[in-house]
Amino acid sequence: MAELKIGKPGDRLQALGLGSCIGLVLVDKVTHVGGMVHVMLPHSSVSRDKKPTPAKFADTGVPLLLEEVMRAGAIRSRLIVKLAGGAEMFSFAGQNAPKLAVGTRNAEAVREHLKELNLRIDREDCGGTHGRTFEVDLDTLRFTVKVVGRGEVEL
Amino acid sequence: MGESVDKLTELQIDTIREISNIGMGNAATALSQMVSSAVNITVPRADIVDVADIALMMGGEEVPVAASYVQVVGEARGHLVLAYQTDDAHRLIELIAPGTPLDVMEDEMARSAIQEIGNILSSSFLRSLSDLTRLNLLPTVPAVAVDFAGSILTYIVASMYEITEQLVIVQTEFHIGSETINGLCVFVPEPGALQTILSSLGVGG
Repeated sequence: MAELKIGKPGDRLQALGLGSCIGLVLVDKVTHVGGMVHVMLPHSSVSRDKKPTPAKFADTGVPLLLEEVMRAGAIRSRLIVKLAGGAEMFSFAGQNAPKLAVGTRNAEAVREHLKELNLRIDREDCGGTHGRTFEVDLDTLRFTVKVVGRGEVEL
Repeated sequence: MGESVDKLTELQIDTIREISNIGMGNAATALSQMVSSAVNITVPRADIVDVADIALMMGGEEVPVAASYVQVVGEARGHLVLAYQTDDAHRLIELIAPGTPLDVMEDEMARSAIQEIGNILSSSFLRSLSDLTRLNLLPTVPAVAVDFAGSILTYIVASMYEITEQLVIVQTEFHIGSETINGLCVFVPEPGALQTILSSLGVGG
């Protein structure tokens, strides 16, 4: 959680047990250099830390991921953009509906910040009420999403 | 991540552990009434933990768990989650409602059993907390989820992060007959609620 990892061919990037969090991957389709950020909340303004961890929030984590993958040598125009997560794990009936909807707001915030950076989403698997493990193999550029009781599918 | 609360004194943490023990004792009595054998619930650990470590307490991010979640309303607001690894959940259901389909992943009846157990435990836990503090504390109807431990627990953490940084984690063991079933109780007080509770017990600060 709240991590940013950069990898090269031979590495796997993974976000285990995403609930409302989002795993976002940017990877150069030619060199297979890429990175993953695991964001927990939409906006860093809510942080009470004096120095908030940028990877924890969509507004700071998305630009940081772009910066870091480009620093590692990825070319912006060749980036594959995929994301997963943003679920609401508990659904309440009627009046108990949580007003927080943090998963939905996370997905919206990540999309918004990608758009601001002119990064087009290739594939995403967001929302619903189930958790996910999101993984990419940087050798093969195979992206997978694993769901409890349903196994693994390619994204 | 450093969000653990270090402002609480030893006395306050001891108090939390003690009220958790009493609350879980009450919950055990309620559960005993449902099963033929006596139920003991012990609290080997009650702590304020770092939010990043919360999934590890259930054995890892990808461990499948069954969880019930109630919101606490009244004079101190908060959130109460009870979670069990699915194997523990199945054994708990078998002891409490023998003959119920066990697979919490597939069976609506098994999920209902988890919801009902969550209801009984949460209600009796809060009733004892109410009695001790003389605060009016009530649970909503529980919601149930069966999923990765990481997904469920970080969802609670993320949902609460914008409003609070205090998490009270109570690790529980249910002893029913010769069986020991492990569970995790996570109480997340909303801002000020933990202080309200501690003040009403004379250890505010």
